[in-house]
This record gives sequence, structure tokens and C-alpha cells, in this order.
Amino acid sequence: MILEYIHADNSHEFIEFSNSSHLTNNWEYIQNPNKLNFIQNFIPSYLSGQKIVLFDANHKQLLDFYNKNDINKLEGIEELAEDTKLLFFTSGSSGFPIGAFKSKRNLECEVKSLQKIVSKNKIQRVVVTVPFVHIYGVLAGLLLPLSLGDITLVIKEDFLPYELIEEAKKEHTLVVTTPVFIKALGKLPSEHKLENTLFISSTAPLALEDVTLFEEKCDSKVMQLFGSTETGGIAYKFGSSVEWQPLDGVSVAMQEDKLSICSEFISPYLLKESIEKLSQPYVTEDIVEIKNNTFTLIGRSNKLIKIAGKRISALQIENILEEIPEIDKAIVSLVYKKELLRSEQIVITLEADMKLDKKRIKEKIAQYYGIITIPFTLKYVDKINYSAMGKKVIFK
Amino acid sequence: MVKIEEVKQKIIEGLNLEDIEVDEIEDDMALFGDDGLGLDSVDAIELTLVLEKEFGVKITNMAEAENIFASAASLTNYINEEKSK
Repeated sequence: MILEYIHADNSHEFIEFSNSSHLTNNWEYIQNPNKLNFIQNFIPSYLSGQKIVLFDANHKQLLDFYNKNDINKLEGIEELAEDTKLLFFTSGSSGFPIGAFKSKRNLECEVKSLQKIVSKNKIQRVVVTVPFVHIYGVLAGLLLPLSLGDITLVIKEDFLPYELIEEAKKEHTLVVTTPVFIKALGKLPSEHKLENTLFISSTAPLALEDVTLFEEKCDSKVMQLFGSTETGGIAYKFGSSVEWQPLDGVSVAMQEDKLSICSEFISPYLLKESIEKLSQPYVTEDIVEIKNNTFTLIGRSNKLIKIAGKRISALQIENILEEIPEIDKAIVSLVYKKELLRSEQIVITLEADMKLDKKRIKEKIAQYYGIITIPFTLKYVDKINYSAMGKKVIFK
Repeated sequence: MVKIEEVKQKIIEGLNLEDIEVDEIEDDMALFGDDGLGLDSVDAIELTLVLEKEFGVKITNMAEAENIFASAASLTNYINEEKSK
């Protein structure tokens, strides 16, 4: 694999990977100041068998946790199976991130499963628009290209739609991206011939009309991947199908109305208050219907908001905002605006003594979430009360 | 000539900044980053689509976009320059 790095001035640099890495027996945090530095550090470390911790350095809670706790001294860390090599973080139901350990076998099996699906396209180039912080970016954007062998990995820190079109036009390209770009390319006024290019999208579901528009405008196919940090990939689907096909290595069932899976990709251990062994089957919070070994997503059973792949606890944000003296009560909800690229929008409804500067709200949230972007709009109401069930309700 | 207020209005509508009024966006206020309007990389993508749809102006690379998107004033100048070509 060779790296084609597109600089901000649009010059292209071809970079070969160094195999040299200083291997230690400890868990080492790899920072991600930018995609190029990250790849240059991650790939030699991963290939040498280094145990790696990954998280977004902009996530203040995680950075504080990491700085205060030596992961190498956590109780039970030495008892993890030797094959345990990566630690990702994801938001937990209380809002505090949960660590998901991954074994090399987890990752290799999942890459093999993805490779089987994309191999029909005779991939020669992989263009990646996603960051390498979360499992999707690392797995589909780095480990899959590595496994494909003699290919070119094309990276740019930030793409605009026409820049991505230029890269996607080249024969036998796989684009690893998110719904934002699928929607953006579908909204361009011009049509493009990308029939030999396959797009993979994950982190959030795509509306059927966005898929259809994209496929019409770009004459291309999009494959959506469904999963989470803890479970790894669960299923995929092409085009406007509503039925998710489990990946090879994953079996699905229903427990009550929730999706229950057994999979070779599920994390063997989680890091919560302490290290916990994860048993299977694993029951997700997704409400599904299963038919002929495929499933349809109906909804989610908890109060977590998933926005651009990040799980945000609505309850935690409400509590954070209610710490502001002028705010009496806050309700955080999610609305879907299909006309926007970032379709999921958070609406914060406040009962407050006065209208507050949006910057102040942002700064308060940033104390907990760092500079992670949580786009929101503010609304003010006269009164927020509690229902008999203890749920907040807005008085109009 | 496109007026700066019209550009600001399209930014608000296109990016769904429901809680911001046109007069809250100063002409030279940074559109991106924490010190200004606080837009991010997804907004940059959305803004390119808004510009093409509303003003027929195409932005094809990020290096160019960084200067154009610096403020409402620079954005308005760019639109008017492109339209006069």
C-alpha cells in the first residue's frame, strides 16, 4: 500500500510507510493531530503488535481521564488475552465514555468480511474522508486498505464535494465516507459518472431518498455499514434496501424486540468503572424486525442521541446546562431535518431567567465534551414541568 | 450586485441557524472557528452547496474556500467578483 496525501494547496505527495516502530509492552496512546501524522504513527505500531489506545484528543473528558489514570496500571489490564491490541472509546449511557478493547482477531475477521464484499469491485484506490479516531475510520479507512495490499490510500484532511468527485472519478476506487458526503454529492447540480466507484457510508443511517438521489446523480453504488464500537460491524446493505444483511461472522436474533448478536467482532472486554469481560450474545439497544436472516431497524430503546456517529446523552447535557444559574430547566431533543447534510439536529429548549448568548451554552457543553461539535438550536419557553412519570414536558 | 445582508440571510437559512439574526453576524466576523460564528467542516460543505444553488457560484477546492469563507464580507466580495466575470 502506498499513501497519496493531498495537501491543503492540492499538491499530491506519495509516501511509503516506514516499517520501523519502537515496540513496547505497554498500552500507548496515539494522538491524532492530523490524518497524515496519525497514519504514519499508527500503521507501523499496529503492524509491529503494539497495544494502542485511540481517542479524540479534543474530547476533554477522555483526555482528563487518560491524564489522571495510567491505563497500564488499571486492575486486570495484565490479565487481558495477549491478542488484545486496540482500545477505542465511545460514549456510555451516562455520557461518560466506555472503552472497547479489540483483539487482533476481532479486527482481522471483520476486515476479511468487508474485503469479501468489496472485492468484486477490484479496488485499486481507497479514498478516505473520515477521521481515524473511531473504529469505522480505522477499520474501513486503514486496516481494510492495508489488507487489500497493492493499492493507493488517498487522504486529505478535509474534502469539499467537487474535490471528492475528482478523486472518486478514477477507476476502481472505494470511497470510505459518511452520510454527509453522500447527501452532498446527491445535491450537486451536475451529474457524474462514477460507475466503477463504490462508496461505503457509516456512522448514521441514510434516508432512502438521499441514497436514490446520490445513485442517480453519480451513477454509483453506496453500501451502508451498521454497527458500533463495542460490536464492530454488524450488517450492511446496498442502495435503497431497508433490509440489513449480517456480515459474515455475525449471527442475529431478537431478544424481546431488541437486536441480539453473536459475532467474531465483538469486543472481548469493556472498560467502564473497571475492566469487564463481555459475554455473548450481545443485546443492542436497537429495536428490529428479523426476517429471513436480515433485519429492519425500527428504532432505539434508550435516550441516547446518535449524531454523526457520536452517542450523546441527552440527560447529561440537560444536567450540564441546568448548572448554569440563569437556567431553571433544559430539555434536549433530536429533530430530523432532511434538507440539511447534517440531518440530525439537537434542539435545546430552555426555561431560563433570560436569553443567554449561544457561546456561553457552547462553552458550558465544551467543559465536558471538549470542542466536539454538537450543532444545536436554542428555544425558550415559559415553563418546563414534570409529568406524573417524572418526564419533563414543555408548557406552551 | 449581491448585498451582504442577502448573503448573511442565505447562510442562516442554508445552515439552519434558526437562533441567529442577520444583524448578529458582523461583516468581518469569522464564520469558522470558536471566535466567530463557530461553523465547522460540515458547514463548509453545506455552504458550498448553498452558494452554488442560491448564487450560481462554484467552489471547487478547500484552499480557495478558506479565504472565501473567512467572513460574510469576503464571501460577498467573491460572489460579486464571480458574477461580474
